[in-house]
Amino acid sequence: MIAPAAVPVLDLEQVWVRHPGERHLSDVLRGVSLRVHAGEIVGIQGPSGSGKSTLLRVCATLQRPVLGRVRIAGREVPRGWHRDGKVMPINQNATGALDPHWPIWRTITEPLQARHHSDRLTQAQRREIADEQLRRVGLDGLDLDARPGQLSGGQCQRVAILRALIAKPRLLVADEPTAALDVSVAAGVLHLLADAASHGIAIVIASHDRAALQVLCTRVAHLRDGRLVEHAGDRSEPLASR
Amino acid sequence: MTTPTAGPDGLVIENLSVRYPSGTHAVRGVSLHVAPGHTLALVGESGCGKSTVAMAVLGLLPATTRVEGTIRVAGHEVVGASEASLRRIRGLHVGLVAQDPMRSFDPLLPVGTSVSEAWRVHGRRPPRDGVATALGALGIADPRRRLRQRPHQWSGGMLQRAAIAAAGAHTPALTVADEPTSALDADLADTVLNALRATGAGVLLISHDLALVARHSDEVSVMYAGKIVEHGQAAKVLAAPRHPYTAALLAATPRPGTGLPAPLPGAPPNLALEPTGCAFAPRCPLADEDCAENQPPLHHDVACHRVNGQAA
Amino acid sequence: MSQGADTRTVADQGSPNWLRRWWDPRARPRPAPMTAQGALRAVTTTAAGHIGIGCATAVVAVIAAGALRHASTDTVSITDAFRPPSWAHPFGTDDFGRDELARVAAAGRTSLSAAVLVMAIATAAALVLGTSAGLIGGALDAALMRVTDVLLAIPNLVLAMAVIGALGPGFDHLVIALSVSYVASFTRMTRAFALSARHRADLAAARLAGLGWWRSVLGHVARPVAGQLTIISTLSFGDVVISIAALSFLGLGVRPPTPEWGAMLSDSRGNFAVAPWLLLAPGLAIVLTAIAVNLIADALREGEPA
Repeated sequence: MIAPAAVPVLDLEQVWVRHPGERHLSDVLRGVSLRVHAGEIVGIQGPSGSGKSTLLRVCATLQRPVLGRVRIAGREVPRGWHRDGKVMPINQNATGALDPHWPIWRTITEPLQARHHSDRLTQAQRREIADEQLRRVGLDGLDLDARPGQLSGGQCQRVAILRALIAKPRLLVADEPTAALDVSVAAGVLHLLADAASHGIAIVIASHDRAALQVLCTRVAHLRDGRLVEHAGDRSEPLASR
Repeated sequence: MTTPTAGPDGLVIENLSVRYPSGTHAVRGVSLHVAPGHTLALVGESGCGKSTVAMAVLGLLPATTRVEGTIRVAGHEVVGASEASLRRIRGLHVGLVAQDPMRSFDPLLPVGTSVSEAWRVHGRRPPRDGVATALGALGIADPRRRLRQRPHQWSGGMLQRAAIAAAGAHTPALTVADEPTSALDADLADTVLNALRATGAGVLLISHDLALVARHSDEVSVMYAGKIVEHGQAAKVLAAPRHPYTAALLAATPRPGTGLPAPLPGAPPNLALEPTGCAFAPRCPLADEDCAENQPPLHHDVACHRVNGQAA
Repeated sequence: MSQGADTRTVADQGSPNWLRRWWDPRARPRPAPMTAQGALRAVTTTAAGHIGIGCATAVVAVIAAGALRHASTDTVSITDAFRPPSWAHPFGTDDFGRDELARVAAAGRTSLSAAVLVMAIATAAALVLGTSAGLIGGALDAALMRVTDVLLAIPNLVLAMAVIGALGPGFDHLVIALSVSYVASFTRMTRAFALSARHRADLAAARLAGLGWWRSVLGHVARPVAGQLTIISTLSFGDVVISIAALSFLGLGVRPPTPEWGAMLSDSRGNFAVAPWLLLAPGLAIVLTAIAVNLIADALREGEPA
């Protein structure tokens, strides 16, 4: 059990988001509150157009709410673009989330180039790190210099997940990560996410696959009419091994 | 394999083989049969050849592809048919519902105009209020006002139902649905598939979603590496699969209460090479030397040596 | 009742032969994305590229030959005026007895260097201004767009003439005058491209990971933008050369006695009956340069992935 005094990795407090619509402002999110602690996996479900993607963008600090607070690891997100790698995204269309001109070794190790990392890595070091990471997810046969266009959707998604995890983020925000994938590849991605959570990473995942959310998440929340309603998932005991 | 007994109706495919100019042998001797009013689901992972089968049925494969075998839709032969006869078959005898409804409609035309094209393409005019009636029958509220709107004003599920209305314009004997709900949210999938089956035509449903298939099809054929490896009544196959690949697919599908699903080891084979022995053998937990050397024939609707005994 | 298996091979077109691949760029496989080797291959193996390189070589040869000769462009010798082409003067002499080949070559250097400068200024400005406007948006973007709106409303040559009218003729002013409209159009194109890149997921991932603004932009946006700019600028190069010639033809370009193709064309008009070769030399130079640049740019563009 998580100690109640632990600071939540993600803390959304009464968040409101408005969308300039055709004739009037529509409220996409109405007073949404959400807390996610380390090692927890929270699933977000909801009918199409309910605002799941908007909620995830707010969690990923890519969009500011009109009202309410967003805190990552206890600190509010500053204005402007300064980020520090605590939050990393995973998108639905993995091939589009990778730079088409970059070889995968470069994409995977890109987060390690951020200013707040003390070591400057050489290309050889980066390649070695990328090689090791690829082996961990069963992609060791892949060419380090391959470009996303030469890979399948499932391979791209796994590369994207490696990029997201490599700098040890505190929070992972996944928007429909298994949507376009075959069932076997999707199962592999679910395992990767569960493994990340067992290492203490908090995860927020949106998906229309109810069964996947139920087996993966510690809590599942429904987004309806801009409001969030929660219930328990199969993995209600966080960090429990299966 | 059930011998096709259909008369002039429905879909009969016999020994279909499709080879792309790059050398990929995408479909290797597939036979199946869809009777009118029945739904047959063709399931498998990406690259198994199921979409190629769908394109072959509609005669939409590129001219450089080598197609062998027979495909008969309502008695009309598709393989080797001229473009003119294919154009008569499409729409009148077979309809298509494609994956992404947003791409099936011209974004500049009102939805009603696009749907009525299904009639106009064959030189006919839709019956009075025919489009509105068809849309209403599929559950679209206020169809007369809606059909004047443009596709971006409709939701994905509604558009897909409009596509179904267009596909069913001439009450064809067969509707081919190529992953009709993959681009939609799960809550819309059931509505769309119910609409599809309500048309009364035979349905060839291409999908990788086993749960969806279990709910909405009568029979299922499982494809792997261009061949059919298992076939049978949907409820039976999905509750008690006989072929190891079908069992593995089911084990990889998340089910509440059973923990994380188990992914399959390895990857699907490269279809440019002809396999020696069973294509699934490298990934199969039951494989032995016989499996690696001899290709298992489809016997009693299962293509597996271990299931059928050593019948070579 | 099953019919016998019907083997019917749908027409196998086969791959196009080498002549077709040389002539028609669309018949060739296009690698994605565009790389430097891909670009080089596009130019060196297609018809457009070959003809373009041929014309370019001719022009470069003339300029080199003129540079290597001893005859200078300023040696006035009235007794030698209007001599037809000969071994001593391969392009003949003009009305002041100056060697025409030397003049055409020198003029070539002037025109081409001016064009290169114009393109360099426009590309650099567009890269900075356009990318910033597209990625940052807001007031900067709005201001830039209004300014370019005004500049683009005026035709290139007219705008250039207005600037030269204000500043006076001369090489530097010519370059500035022509740069203005190209900066405007290139900036717009770059901005459109940067705008589409703004919401890309790989850029968002880089920023979230903590990479700085410039670093992520340079890594993810700058390269494809630079690629597009290269193609745009090579396409416009021929246009610039012709504009320079046009301005000089009107007397608004470089000052005499600096030779320039357009000015030489203009001067030769009156003497056409006496010395027709004086029209041919600069005229052919302009045409060949324009053809060379346009065909090479075309080859580059067709080499782009579909």
